[in-house]
Amino acid sequence: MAQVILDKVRKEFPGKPPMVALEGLDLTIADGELLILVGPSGCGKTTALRCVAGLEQPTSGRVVIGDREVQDLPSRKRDVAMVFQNYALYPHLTVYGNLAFGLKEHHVPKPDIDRRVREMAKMLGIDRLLDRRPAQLSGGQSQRVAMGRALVREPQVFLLDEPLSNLDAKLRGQMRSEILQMQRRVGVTSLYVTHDQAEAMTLGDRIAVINGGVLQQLGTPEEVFRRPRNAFVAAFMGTPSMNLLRGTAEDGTVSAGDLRVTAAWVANGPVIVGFRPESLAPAEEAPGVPRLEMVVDVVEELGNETLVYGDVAGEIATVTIDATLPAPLEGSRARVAARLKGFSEVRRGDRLQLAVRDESMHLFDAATGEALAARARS
Amino acid sequence: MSYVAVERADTLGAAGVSGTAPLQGPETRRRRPSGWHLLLVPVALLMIFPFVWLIITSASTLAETRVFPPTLPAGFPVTWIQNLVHNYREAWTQAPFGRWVLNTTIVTFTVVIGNLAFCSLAGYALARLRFFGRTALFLVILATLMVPFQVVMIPVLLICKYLGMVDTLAALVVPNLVTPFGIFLLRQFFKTLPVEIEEAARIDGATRLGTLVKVLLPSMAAPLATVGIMTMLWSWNDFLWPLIAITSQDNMTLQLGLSSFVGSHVTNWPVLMAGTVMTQIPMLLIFLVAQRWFVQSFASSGVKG
Amino acid sequence: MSTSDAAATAPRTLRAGRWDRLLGSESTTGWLFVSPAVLVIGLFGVAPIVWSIVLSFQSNDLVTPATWVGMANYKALLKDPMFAASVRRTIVYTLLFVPIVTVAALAVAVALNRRLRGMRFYRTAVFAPVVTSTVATAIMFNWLLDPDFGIVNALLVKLGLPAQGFFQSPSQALYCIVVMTVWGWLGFAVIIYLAALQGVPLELMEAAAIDGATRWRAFRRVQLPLLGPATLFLVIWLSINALQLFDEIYVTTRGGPLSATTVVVYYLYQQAFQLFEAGYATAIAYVLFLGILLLTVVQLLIGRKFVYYRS
Repeated sequence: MAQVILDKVRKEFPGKPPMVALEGLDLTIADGELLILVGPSGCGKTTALRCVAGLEQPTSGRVVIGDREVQDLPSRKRDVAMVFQNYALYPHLTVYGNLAFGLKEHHVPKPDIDRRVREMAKMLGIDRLLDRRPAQLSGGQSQRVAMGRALVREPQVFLLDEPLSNLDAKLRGQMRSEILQMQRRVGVTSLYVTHDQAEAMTLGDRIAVINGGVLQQLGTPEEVFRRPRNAFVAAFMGTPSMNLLRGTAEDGTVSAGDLRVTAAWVANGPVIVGFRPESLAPAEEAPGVPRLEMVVDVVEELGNETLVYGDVAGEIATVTIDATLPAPLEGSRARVAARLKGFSEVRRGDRLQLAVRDESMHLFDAATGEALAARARS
Repeated sequence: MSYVAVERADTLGAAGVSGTAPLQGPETRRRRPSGWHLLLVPVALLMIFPFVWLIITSASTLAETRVFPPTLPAGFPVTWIQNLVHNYREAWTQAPFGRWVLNTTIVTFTVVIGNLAFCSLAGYALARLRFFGRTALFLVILATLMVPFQVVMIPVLLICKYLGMVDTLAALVVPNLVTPFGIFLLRQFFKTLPVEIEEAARIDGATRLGTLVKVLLPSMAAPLATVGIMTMLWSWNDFLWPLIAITSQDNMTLQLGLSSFVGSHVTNWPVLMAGTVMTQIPMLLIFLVAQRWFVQSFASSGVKG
Repeated sequence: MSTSDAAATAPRTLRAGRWDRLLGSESTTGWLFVSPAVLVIGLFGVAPIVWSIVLSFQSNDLVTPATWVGMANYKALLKDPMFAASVRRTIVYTLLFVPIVTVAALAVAVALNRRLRGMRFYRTAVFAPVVTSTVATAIMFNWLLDPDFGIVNALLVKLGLPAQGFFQSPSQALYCIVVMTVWGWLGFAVIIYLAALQGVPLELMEAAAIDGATRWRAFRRVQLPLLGPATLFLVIWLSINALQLFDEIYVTTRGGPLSATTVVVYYLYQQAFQLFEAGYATAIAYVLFLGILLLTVVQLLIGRKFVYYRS
């Protein structure tokens, strides 16, 4: 159990020009905390994890585990344990052998090894599998063995590299809660890497959103979701993504397409207006708030809610994330998503008047993407 | 993790090395030359030295080789070149090396083509076509793989005698036109190809043979290269069978000829070395040019084994 | 080939091609494709195997008609001291050759499996001997180890050691053959091991490192076991080739000096082509075959027990 600190960790990979995976990352993980590193592919989160693991050496900066500086130590001396994305179970050893491997390497006496392996196996529900080989295990079982191998060593730090991405959706949900339970039970400081923002939201004590090797925001799930520090975080967290429109602020009014918002404190100039799909509601339900008109294109009935996609007057503001964001439409229309409660009678082609609840509106600087302080009030 | 893996693969060279960076640990990565060179340099030198000495000797005069301890031949580079020309010309004229090269080329070429063609046909049939006795036939072919050549060499010689092939190139070609090794390798590979491709071709109207030639073989560069290269190397360097099948000098292959050359030049080292170099150059050149193909062929035939 | 065959094999496609319709069925095509192989292997593979069994029961000089002698050849083999000696030498050779090549190749392969400068040079150097013929190798080593003018002796003398007889010394000749053939085969074994090493996923080594293993421990406990199948293949393949040693002996020592290098196949050759006892020679060949078979089976059984195969 220990605190983990990444202090201005920078990682460059050789090349012409050198590829910078991490630009001076500063992160402190409290003792016993489960911190999620989340971000799109290639953002540097895995590199950060591997720097803590000792599988990569930072180009500069420090990595501190507990009270030791470890950036110059090889992995085996760091007292960390890791669950790999593909599990990396030793194929020639039984489950028992896999679990015992690390303990043997640390010269734990044999009877203790046996006791600890069996206890861990029982805790993870794999005690019946101890004589099997990895090739005979299912995905979920392999995952548990991988976790067992890591936790049986009672490491100071527990690292997980996208451990759930190879599982099917149903299993993923189940394993997610199991991982959470284990972590709480054992109380080990954990660093968890994922590209799935939903996973990040449900799992972490805190989330670190990373993009392009730079930490975008560090905070609790609620903070990151409700108070994104910049447009990237705002768009990355949440599905469907937050709607972002280009707007202009002039004399205290922000206009984006048909939307008009009063924000007296905003300086004149271009801004980005953001509102989540769930903050949109049929206009009738919320009189007196900013509204816009949508021409409905796609309706997805999900039972407890309906997702409506359509275009509005305005221009999409794009931020550099993955390509699943809606592309700007031709001319001056923007694609916007709305999340409506329950079943809806909306049909394709309808003109829908939507109200934007003001407390969920965000304004961002058009040049830097930084969130602008104080929220808009209509 | 993908971009990191790609990065690592880029720096690891063509033959695809799995690096061991994580185990080296940060402590050893301070730009110190690796200790592994201490093993590799002597090994590489030991491997190369016979070749080097071979070439140097072929650039010596006879007198220089009759001195103990031996020295580097005098007069680099001019005299060396003079010696080289002299020795190689001597070798070339004192024995029909040219003829031997021709013989070996004809034999190897025919054997390789024959194997590629017939082993493909047989391998495909054994893998994909259903016919009476298929399993039995495959087992028999497999069994012949197990039997060492020495068991069959005398009867094969007798068969060649009855067919009037003894002391002709035919004796070197015909028995080796198809080898169980090639059939086995190609059959295994055919089995790994998806059946759907063939079915699509057949639906499009192709015949079995057409499918094989136009659709399947073009996508089988690797196993075909393996069969081709292994067969070529083996045929070019084959010694025992030519030894017992060929008696007249003009019909000899290169290796057989070389060994007979030893007999008459056992003390004329420079000329003998020159002759040896000449016989090895073709394969060495091909190897240097296509090293990756060679290595891949050996590796994959080992995997199948 | 017959129509009933055609019905039985039930062609799996919608439209048969022109040839297929002409020839009737998959079965015919099958046999057609296989016929060149059947012809060649039948005539030069299967028939000789059968014939040589017969031959081993004969006394045959390849020229005059043969006489039937029943088990006489085999009985004589059991009592033949020269044969026994050749077997002994072959075994000594094999017991030296196989382990040396295997262990050395493993070390070299591990060394080559890294990111080092000059790797291309090292690899080319290690692989090059594989493409040289046995004859050329023998000639090169004959010259290197020449007792009077060879450079190896020159080196020894320079180091203050006595010059050796090498191929001309009955006690040393066989070991020189070992050295020569190790040189020739090392590259092949390295290729096999390299391929196997590259088949071990990098992640496993990372996991081992995190689990606390040093480089050496990770090699011993993770890589080496996973190299089991490659090691087994090499041991079997190298043994088979070692037991059939011939070419190098023929070119260097012709079985000498004083029969010191007369291994089984060389003895066989002498019997067949110098003493014109083809029947006896074939009996030797069959005994060799049985020996190889037995050894291979034993190796496979041992291997199955200790070697882990990844599915």
